[in-house]
Amino acid sequence: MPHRVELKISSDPRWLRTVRAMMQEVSREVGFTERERCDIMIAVDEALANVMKHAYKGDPNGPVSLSCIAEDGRLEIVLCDQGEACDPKNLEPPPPEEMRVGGRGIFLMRSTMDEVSFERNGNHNYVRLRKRVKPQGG
Amino acid sequence: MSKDLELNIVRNGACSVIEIQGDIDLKTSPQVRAAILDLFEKRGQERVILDLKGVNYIDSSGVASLVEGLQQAKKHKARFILSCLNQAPRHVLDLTRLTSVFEITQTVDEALK
Repeated sequence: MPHRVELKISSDPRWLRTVRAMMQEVSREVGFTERERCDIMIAVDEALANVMKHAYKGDPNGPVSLSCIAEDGRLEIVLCDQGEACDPKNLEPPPPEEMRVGGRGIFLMRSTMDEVSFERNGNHNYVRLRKRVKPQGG
Repeated sequence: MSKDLELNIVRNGACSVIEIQGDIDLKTSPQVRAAILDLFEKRGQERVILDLKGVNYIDSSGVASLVEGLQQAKKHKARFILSCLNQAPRHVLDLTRLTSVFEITQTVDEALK
């Protein structure tokens, strides 16, 4: 039976720290290694920061929901917001070595998770992040 | 809520050490950015060292502030050094392939030499 954790917050950046701590705990429960837990924390933090910065344009009062569904060593995290539609292509990063200042958030999400997808449905944006526990010794 | 980030700047002539305590993320990175730019642009520092032993997380906005610091250092022919990187911040720099771009030392003493 899948385990589910849900959190509803506003788009205020002060929640980032709380969400990072929560993701460490959730991913520990699923059985991820320390490095994988760090990766999941990075991906969710960047996804949430993108919602705050791009979908809500810095407005700290937008509703955001975060759902974590864990089953059989797999974790899916879904972030949902009602901000402006964001085309992730517009947020794609520069080549990593390039000394441009910003634009590395989505690159970090894609580098740390097995799957990252973006969807617009009605007036909602959805970001889905998936990762599976790697078999030990494999 | 407790304070998110604390900065302590120790200046010694043309060299400054910024001791940072807390996570550098979307909320706190503007503070770090402002401190770095102030030292290079207004105070003419020739060497700025970031003491990161109290930092357990840096996000992409924090990385952006570091890149901007490095650009300012180059512009002013100064040095910008990252010291005492913990595991997660180093991992973020590795992932963004910027580790080799920065001057990184294990300790602040090493950066002061």
